[in-house]
Amino acid sequence: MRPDQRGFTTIQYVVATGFSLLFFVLIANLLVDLYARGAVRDALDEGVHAAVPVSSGPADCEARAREVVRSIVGGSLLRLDELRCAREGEMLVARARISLRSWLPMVVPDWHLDLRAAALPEP
Amino acid sequence: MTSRSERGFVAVEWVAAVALLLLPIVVLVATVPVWAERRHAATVAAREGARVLVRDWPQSDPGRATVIAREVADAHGVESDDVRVHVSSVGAERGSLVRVEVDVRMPAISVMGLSAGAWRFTAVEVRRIDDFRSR
Repeated sequence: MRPDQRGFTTIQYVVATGFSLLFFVLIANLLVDLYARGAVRDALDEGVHAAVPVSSGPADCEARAREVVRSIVGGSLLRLDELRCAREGEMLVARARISLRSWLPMVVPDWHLDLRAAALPEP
Repeated sequence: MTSRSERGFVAVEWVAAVALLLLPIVVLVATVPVWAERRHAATVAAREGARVLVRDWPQSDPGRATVIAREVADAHGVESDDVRVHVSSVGAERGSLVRVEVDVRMPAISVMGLSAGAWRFTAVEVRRIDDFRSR
């Protein structure tokens, strides 16, 4: 090995490995965020269906949706900024504004999403 | 002994190999959840369409069921152009079946808003009109 090649491969290897691992973390973050998005959609769906019977209303929808969110995506991963259910025309609509926290905030910002579910209540 | 033209060769090759390995993983991670979401959207839309038909029976309106199914799919983030709703039976009499099919376009590859190729998934919901349902 010549003098100008001392340690050359090792430094590049370490840098490349570091970036690869960073990328793996971002992929894992995306995967978990997609799961959380699906979970909240399911929660909203559960919520609007809780309010389908005649005797139920938007309050039942909100309570059920919050319960489902808490049970399947609890913890610090997700912040539920807003969740409300209301009648819009003949439909009962649940809306949620969520923030999915980034694992590497200096590289990727939090992901803010507006999600919605709708169902037709019983007459 | 390493020649001058081979400086950094191993590292560059290694980075290229990692990139090639990661690319399919990124595509899979981004695309597979979209399939699951759209499949779920189609299932829920078909369920809601069928529920509306049963609810409104005997004045069931396939057009209304279609609108509701599309609205539900839209709420799940599926664009209207990607959804086809077909009401094949509205339940002619008590004890008969209501059948709604919701067909959703599934992107073969979907990464960061870009998609390529497609296949279709059809969700079917069948419900029975109650035998003692009043008119």
